[in-house]
Amino acid sequence: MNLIEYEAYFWAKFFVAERAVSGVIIILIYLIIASVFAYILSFHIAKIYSDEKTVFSRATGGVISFFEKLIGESPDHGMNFREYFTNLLLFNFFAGLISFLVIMFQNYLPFSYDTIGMPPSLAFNTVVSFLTNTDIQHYSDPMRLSYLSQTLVITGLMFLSAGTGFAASMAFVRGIRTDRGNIGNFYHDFLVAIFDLILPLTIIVTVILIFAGIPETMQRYVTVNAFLTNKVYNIPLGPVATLEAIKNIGTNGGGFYGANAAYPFENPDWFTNLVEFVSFIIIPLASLLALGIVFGDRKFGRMLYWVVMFFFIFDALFAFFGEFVGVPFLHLGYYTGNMVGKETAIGISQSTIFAVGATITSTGASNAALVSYTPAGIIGVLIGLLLNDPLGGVGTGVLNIFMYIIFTVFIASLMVGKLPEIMSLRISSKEIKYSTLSLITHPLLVVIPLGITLMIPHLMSTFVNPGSSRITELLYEFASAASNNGSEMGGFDTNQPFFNYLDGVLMLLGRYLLMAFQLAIAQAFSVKKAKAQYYRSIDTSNWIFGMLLIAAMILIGLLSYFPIIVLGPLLSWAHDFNLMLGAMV
Amino acid sequence: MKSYTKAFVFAVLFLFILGFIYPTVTALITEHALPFQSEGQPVEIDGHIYGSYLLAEAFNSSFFFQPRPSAIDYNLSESGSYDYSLGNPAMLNLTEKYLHRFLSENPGVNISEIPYAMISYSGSGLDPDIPLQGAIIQIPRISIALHNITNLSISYLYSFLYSIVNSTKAQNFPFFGSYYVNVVHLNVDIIEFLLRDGYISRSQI
Repeated sequence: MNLIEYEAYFWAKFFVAERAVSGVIIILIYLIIASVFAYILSFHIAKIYSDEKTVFSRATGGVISFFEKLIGESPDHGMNFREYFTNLLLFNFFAGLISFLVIMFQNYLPFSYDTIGMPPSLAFNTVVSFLTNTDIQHYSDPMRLSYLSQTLVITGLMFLSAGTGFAASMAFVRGIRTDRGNIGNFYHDFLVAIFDLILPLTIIVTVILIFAGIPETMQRYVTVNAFLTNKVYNIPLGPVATLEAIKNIGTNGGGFYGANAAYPFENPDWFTNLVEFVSFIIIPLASLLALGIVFGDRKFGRMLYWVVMFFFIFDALFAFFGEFVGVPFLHLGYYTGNMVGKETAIGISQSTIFAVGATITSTGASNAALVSYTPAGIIGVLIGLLLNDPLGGVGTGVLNIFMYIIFTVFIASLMVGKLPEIMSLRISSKEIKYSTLSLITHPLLVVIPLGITLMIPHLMSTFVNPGSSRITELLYEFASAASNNGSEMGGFDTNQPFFNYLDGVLMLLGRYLLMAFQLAIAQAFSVKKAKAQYYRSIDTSNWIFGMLLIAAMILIGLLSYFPIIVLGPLLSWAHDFNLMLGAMV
Repeated sequence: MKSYTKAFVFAVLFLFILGFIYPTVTALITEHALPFQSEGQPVEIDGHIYGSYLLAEAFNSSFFFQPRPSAIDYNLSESGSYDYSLGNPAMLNLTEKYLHRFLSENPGVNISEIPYAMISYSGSGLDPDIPLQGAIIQIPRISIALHNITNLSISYLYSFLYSIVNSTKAQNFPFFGSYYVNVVHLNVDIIEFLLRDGYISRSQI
């Protein structure tokens, strides 16, 4: 063995043995790989945002204009906020209605095999959750849905909700970028979002996932006879790879199987885990970087990138070390971190970075049972949800972070006595009103239902875990619904009419009410002309502004929930580590 | 066209094209091009399907490598885990139960040698992978069980089991990951070894 081989051998042994060091390195590698791909895609998204031709335009231009001619729309027909949003709502309403009918009557429709119909409350919840890009699933058995429901409704709505979200962000950027008084044509934006961005990426990811070993078939199940038994099982199968691809590219997050990405068919090893992670980070992160290119201020995009990365790295390390340390009283055997509810082929570091990535974006896929996370681990995962997904979903990320930006610009400018301006556009009372409304809507949508639920005694009967875990579980459930994230902690029977309808309403409000506020801001900006800057306003792309933005996000986003975090995860933490505070529960 | 007609036409069209046509066409292509992958990598011996290489099942014989505990009793048509939080007393009881079961199944194993993953349930309930050490500590028990069937020498069986474990092991991230092995691969190797030398017949499995 020569010296170089010995060195390599030494380090290989070192990294296999030192799990904490390798865990941090793996998490950083995940973030670096995602950032590189997002950087490459950001140029493509910038072209879409500035209404320029992209690499796909030659192929997709014809398709887009075919569909436009079909319904008699054209990109030249600019819509104002009211018209744009009405069309968006109508389109979503009909998609939801058709899906609801398909799911309700799935047993009478073709490709039903032997599925039964769904109760209305569960069907309502399922359709709303997939329509709003949330993808909370209150059903867990894939056989609960027929082939037609699984494809037409679930996969179809995943595409539609991602396309709708991205179209909204195109309109928002257009509102800031132009001064024509309109924010574009919804149908055109939707078509461009689907054909120039979402569909090509989905096809690439589908092919990668199929070759990585994820099933894709029209068969409903495969019948197996387990070794040395006479037991016969039907392993559910179906178009898993296509669903998995759009689930991640569209930041949807609802899995084919109940265990979501923990099920080996959805996520067999580290490679698929990395592919899925990158595919749900890529569009939200690239959209933020693209903003820098579109507004001709690359530093602005970089500033947003680091603001999001601050939360991302903090959450990921918090969750990782929480899980790595585990809880003292379960340190049995050769303890390698809290492996309860996690898969061996993925491990602790990759489970936590996946879960954190899924809540920082609005994906909500999970490759581990979140209810078995340590209290520290769950705080790392929760922060993303409570901040209303700082990186956001496809499109909605840009909208959400702009609400914080407008708010921060306003506060910061007032503090130093400068004019509140963003991209050389004045921020007037209308914008600040709507951005504040959208910022306080999210906490209200979480806290009010939580308070109401805690006062209904009979709902408490299905809770499995004691004391403060219940608060954590309820907070997680409502935060996930309101931020359209869709990741689920469980811990109680979510499939009850109360939770089905309540979550449904929260998801609708969290999606369309916020989108209305945000597009109204775009409309207000779209009539303003950019004025030359004479250093009369603050610089929105330097690191000082970045730190102000982080502070504003923590102040508005996190502090609204502080009492609940204390009652929930922090109290469980104290309890699990046997601190004096914990003895009170 | 009125705006609601447009919205309706668009909703129907795109649900159908993106939701139905796209997955169905992909599924039909995959079924023909990659039948093994498209069906979830089935374990096939002489035309019979015994499971999937990606899913653990209840390998209820002492000459099999045992997978991690399952919350759903290795029911292949389901998936999931318990709703217990770590602070729940039931979790401690369950972990102790798994620990005692593992110790009684594998006599002579020291508690501090048992990886925690072997005594905690997985998220899917069907995790086919176990840590490398979890496989190594099962080798003594398996070689004795195989010895009782085959009458081959324990040391030969030891080296056979070590060799299949070594050839199946993989890292859960290149270079930085920890080592794990897939129990289904190992157990299929054992079954094929027994079948090849005629110690058990096809009808028995």
